[in-house]
Amino acid sequence: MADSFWFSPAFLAAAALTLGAVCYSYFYLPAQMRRAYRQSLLTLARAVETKDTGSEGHGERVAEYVVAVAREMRLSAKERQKMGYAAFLQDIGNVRVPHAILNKPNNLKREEFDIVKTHAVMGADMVEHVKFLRDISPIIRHHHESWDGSGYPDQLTGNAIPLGARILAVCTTYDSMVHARAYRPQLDEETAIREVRAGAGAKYDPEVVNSFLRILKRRHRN
Amino acid sequence: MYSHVRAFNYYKRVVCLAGLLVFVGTVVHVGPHLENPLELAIFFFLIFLTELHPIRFPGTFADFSMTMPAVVGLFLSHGPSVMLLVSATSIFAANLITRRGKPIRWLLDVVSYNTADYIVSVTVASFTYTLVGGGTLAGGGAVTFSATVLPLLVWVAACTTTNMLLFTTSLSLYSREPWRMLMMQNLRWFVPNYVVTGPSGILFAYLYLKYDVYGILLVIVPFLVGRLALNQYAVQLDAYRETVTTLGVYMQHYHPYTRGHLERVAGLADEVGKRMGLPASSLMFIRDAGLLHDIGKVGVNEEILDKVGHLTDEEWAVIKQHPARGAEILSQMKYLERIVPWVRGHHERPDGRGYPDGLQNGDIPLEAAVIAVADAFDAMTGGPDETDRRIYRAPLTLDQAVAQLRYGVGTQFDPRVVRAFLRVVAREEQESGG
Repeated sequence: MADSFWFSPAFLAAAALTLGAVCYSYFYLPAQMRRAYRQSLLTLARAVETKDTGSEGHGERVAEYVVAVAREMRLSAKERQKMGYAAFLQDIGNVRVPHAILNKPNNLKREEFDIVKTHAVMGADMVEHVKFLRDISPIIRHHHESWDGSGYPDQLTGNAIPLGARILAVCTTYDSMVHARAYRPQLDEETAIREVRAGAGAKYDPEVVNSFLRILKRRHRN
Repeated sequence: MYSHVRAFNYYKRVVCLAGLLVFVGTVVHVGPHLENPLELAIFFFLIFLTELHPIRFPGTFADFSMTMPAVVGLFLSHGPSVMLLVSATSIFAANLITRRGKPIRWLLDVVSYNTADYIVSVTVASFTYTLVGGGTLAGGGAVTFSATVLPLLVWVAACTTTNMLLFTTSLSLYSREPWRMLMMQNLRWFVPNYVVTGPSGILFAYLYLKYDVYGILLVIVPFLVGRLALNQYAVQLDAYRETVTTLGVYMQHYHPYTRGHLERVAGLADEVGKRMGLPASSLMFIRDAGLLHDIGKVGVNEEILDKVGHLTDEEWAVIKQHPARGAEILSQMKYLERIVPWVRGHHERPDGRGYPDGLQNGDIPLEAAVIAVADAFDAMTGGPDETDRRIYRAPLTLDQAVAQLRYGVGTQFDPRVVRAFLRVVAREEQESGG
């Protein structure tokens, strides 16, 4: 009985079925879900970006930089993923900033700029309500803080700013500079790089700036 | 006490009594000696385990469990009486465990009824089996696989049918919903259940006859692993949907209504969908569609959305884009593909004067029509919370809103939906009023 049992079609079929189910649930499914998840967050972010002329694709490009910097700084895959999602959703709070203010060419009044500033807090609040995105909320809240404490909303300084937010701050400024926006013309890459370097230790975390510039240099070489 | 509650209680007692009589009769019939106690113990645990761990396929409300196949194996090997004793006690125990923590009287009440329901069903099944000439190993004689296939299918069919009849009757007495309507709803999930259970019962019997207890493992192990995989899928899908809908709701929050509106539209659409007997795969997503139906308004200039006075043609054109824009956004969401046409169609009208596609009566998805009515109704009444209401119009009373819906039947609203909707609203009124 024993021998014939282990080689019987029934046993083999059962074993194959079991193996298939294991592979499906531990490899195929998570990968597919991750893709769908990423795509959906990106789509929602894009819906908001259309409101702010010139910002289309910003989140996606920034996410690429952020993930590369995080890898350069040897952060774990989980951290990298988290920071990528935060980059997608960084400006989702803009959904509550009036259209007219977002698209004003220049010279925002002080009150108007105060309204623009609320987008970080509102975005963080929105994300806070989503169970599976709760831990990216601080990154979104603080992505406009400066290393020297001159940023918003909480005027945090140095390492008190979450690392993800420090990385995001550098990447998002650089990407904004090299693309034309409603309030400012496009800068060429060298000028933008110079600006970022000048901000190291003042507006930006010097270590993050170093990693970021290394990545840019490597990209140029290729 | 209401008469329908009394009828329901009588019914429950009758079923319980019948179950108890059959059980006691079987105990007396079998006597104190059970053959092969070890194997019976294995079966007991098997049924217990499978009853504790049903699986639910995504998109359905039906729980599939491997209990029936295990019971079929037990039935074939040990005959109807022993099968009944072992499986009924096992199911009783499993039911107690799954509902632990509830008040003890209620617990015994429900579990006894469920077990009695089960006993009556398998008893009917066993009689039918004998009637069509099926045999069991315990009944003596050589039971071959081919000779038992047909009677076994009859066994499973009889068991499922009896179970369904008992269940529908109790539900109908309890909820005062028409028996026929409930029957149609239940058929939707009993039929696929049978399609899965029948053949797997046969497979189980075959493997048991051929390999003994090993055969049982061959079914149970893949089943439990498969259940794990499906659960994993369900958990991840829930996480995904929760993320998208919650974020989507917060994004729409500011415009044009509040979160309360979206949640009420979702709730109403869900209830109306159930009342209309929409397929389970639609019901699974109709809440999501209710929550996300205005996602196309995200990113649109709020000066237009909020404008109180007369809109210019260009402004109207912008507003009219939102269903199509919403559909476009949602078409990027892999697991929400189903709701894309519903969101696109939620401003269509049966008379063809809706937007964006000017669809006519039969071309509008029913789910879109459901959302249209729920949306319009809640926008008119403004919901129970005063801060929720739209600023530029005083809310209508319930009667006024109902009159508006009636007025729009056939032109603005789908008559089938309005009919179901009015029943749902009337029922809610009755419940909150009395």
